[in-house]
Amino acid sequence: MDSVETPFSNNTIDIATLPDFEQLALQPVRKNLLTKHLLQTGVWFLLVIAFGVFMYSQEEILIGSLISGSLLLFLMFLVFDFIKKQPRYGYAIREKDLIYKRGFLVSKTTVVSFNRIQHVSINRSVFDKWLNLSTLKIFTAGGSGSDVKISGLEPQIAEKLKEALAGKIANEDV
Amino acid sequence: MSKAFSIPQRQSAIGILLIFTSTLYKFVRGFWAALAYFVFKRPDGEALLYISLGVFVLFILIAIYSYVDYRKFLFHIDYEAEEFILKKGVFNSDFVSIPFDKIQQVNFKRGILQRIAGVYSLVIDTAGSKQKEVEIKAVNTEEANQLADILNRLKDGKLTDAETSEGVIDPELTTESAPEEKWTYRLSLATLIKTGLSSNFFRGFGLIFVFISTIFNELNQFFKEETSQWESQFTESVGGIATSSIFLISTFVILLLVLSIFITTAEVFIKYFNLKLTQTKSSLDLQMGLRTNTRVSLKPIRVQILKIITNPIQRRLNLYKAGLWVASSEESNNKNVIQVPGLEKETVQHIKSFLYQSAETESGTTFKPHWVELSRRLIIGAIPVVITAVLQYFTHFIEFGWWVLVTSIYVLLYAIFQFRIYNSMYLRIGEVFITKSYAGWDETIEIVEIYKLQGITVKQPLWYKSRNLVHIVFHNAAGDITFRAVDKAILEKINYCLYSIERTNKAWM
Repeated sequence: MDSVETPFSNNTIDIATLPDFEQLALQPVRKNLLTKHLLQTGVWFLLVIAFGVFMYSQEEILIGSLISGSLLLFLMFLVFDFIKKQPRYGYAIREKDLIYKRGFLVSKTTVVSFNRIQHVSINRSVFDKWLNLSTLKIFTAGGSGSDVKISGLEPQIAEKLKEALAGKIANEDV
Repeated sequence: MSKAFSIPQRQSAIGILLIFTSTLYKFVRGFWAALAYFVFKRPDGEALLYISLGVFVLFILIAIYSYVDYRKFLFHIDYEAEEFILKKGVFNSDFVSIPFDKIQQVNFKRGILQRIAGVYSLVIDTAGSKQKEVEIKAVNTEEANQLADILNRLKDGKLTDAETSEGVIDPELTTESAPEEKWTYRLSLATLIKTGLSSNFFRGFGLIFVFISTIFNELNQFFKEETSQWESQFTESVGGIATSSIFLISTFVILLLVLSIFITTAEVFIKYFNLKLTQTKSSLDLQMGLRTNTRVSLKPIRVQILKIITNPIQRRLNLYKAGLWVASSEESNNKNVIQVPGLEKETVQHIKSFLYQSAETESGTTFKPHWVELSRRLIIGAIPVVITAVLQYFTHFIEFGWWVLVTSIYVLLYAIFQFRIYNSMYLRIGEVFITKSYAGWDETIEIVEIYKLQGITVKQPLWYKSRNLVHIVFHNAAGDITFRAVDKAILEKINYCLYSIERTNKAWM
């Protein structure tokens, strides 16, 4: 690279002293999020059971039990995954970026810099309203991969975060 | 004037009708199978009554939904917070706010219904996926013009260099008088044909397959009786072939190969005929195409990822293909890459030096994937072998000898291919660039500037924990670059990348 074009090629950077995103204490999300996930899965459980009963009444016992059995197994796995996942949700806001960690089987940590955020929105589903939760969505231009969706936030906190991020975005662009 | 649109307001009342039709359309699209069933079945008496009653109720429900949707859909401009704000949602409540300076474009769209109703659909684009654009379905002409005008002025007024959205990086360049040509590259007819002949034929194969199956389908639908007769003849003869004559099969394969080479060459020819690449002071201008003449003018800042692709044959012929990936929303997938084939190495260097002010590939730390990545790829490849083995054992759909022959050819080719990919794959993180390189048949080098990244995701499956391996995904406005199963030592470099993204003030687009 042409050294004139790169603003930081002259100073040596000691990479080891750069802030490490892995060493961060993360904020947990609300416990209610698990309730929401379980309720959602519960609805599916009811649907699958209803399907099973319907198949039974139609005397399609073999096919019915095969399909609903495998679906139930899958839902049970989902419940297990949701329970294991719950304590692993965490987010943190640093001076210049936002970090969101989630996932049990595959743990994912996404870091999005404030100067790359396009916009922020808050979304509340019916379950969210019952359980007093909010979902904060952070959009970047990097497509669905780098969009961050933090669910299970307290509505006031979500609102505050949104305000804070909006402020940061505005500052970063000057 | 400054107070225009500052109070939350609804779209034009005709919007109810538009929401109604689009919801209805979604329903019809979702349940077209059921609909077709009813139409063909021609239900009578009681069933017909119930069905029409159901449809009637559905209509009413959709109408109510449309009305509520319309009532809840409120937009306004918050001049103080410098945001465009939209509230919507019937069951959920969505609250979208777009800061002025994040607005990429304000577009008008008009469908047939909107044309009849005399309204416009106003689309506010912010680069990225589908959820990021806001569409107001029905705005009357006057208001649409006004709103677009205000939003355009607000977004430009906010930007210090108003041209950024158009992609001019260097303000000095725009003051320069006429665009001066630096170099021009013309793709000669001979090179075009060479490129076509040495291109990847898999696409050609795919096209033939789609073509044949479409025709077969059409025939099936229109000449059902005739085909059944013809089909029985066909299966008879095919069955004969499969058991007796290898000669016919190989002829068939060769014929297919020749046909696919022909089709691929023709495709390349039509797409890239008369290709002319010109570099002016501030942009790269591309013109090509036999049937539809494509003209693109690219500013370096708009290019998000540069891919340089060749293959062993093309490399010997000094032929390279450059893929210039630009940012775009997720739906318009095919539009966001500009492919320029048939380039000489020298021209590729020209492009590189134009985009990055330097043709040299910088040094940096190189990372290779762990060997578990190779075993993962091999295991995935073994799945079809196992499945066909089980099928063969239970159903004897193919003779055992044939199965062994086909499987061993497949396993051999697949293993060689995967070893080659694994051996050639590397990721290099330098000071300014991230380079990913891999070679199957095609040899690809992907280059992205670190400051053009949008975010980074580090993934770690549970079973990689003990080996200390992670997957890295670099998010870019033109797509993700993923590198799998790399040692955790890379995280130091990731911290560096984040640092580079966060300290730069350069516009990434």
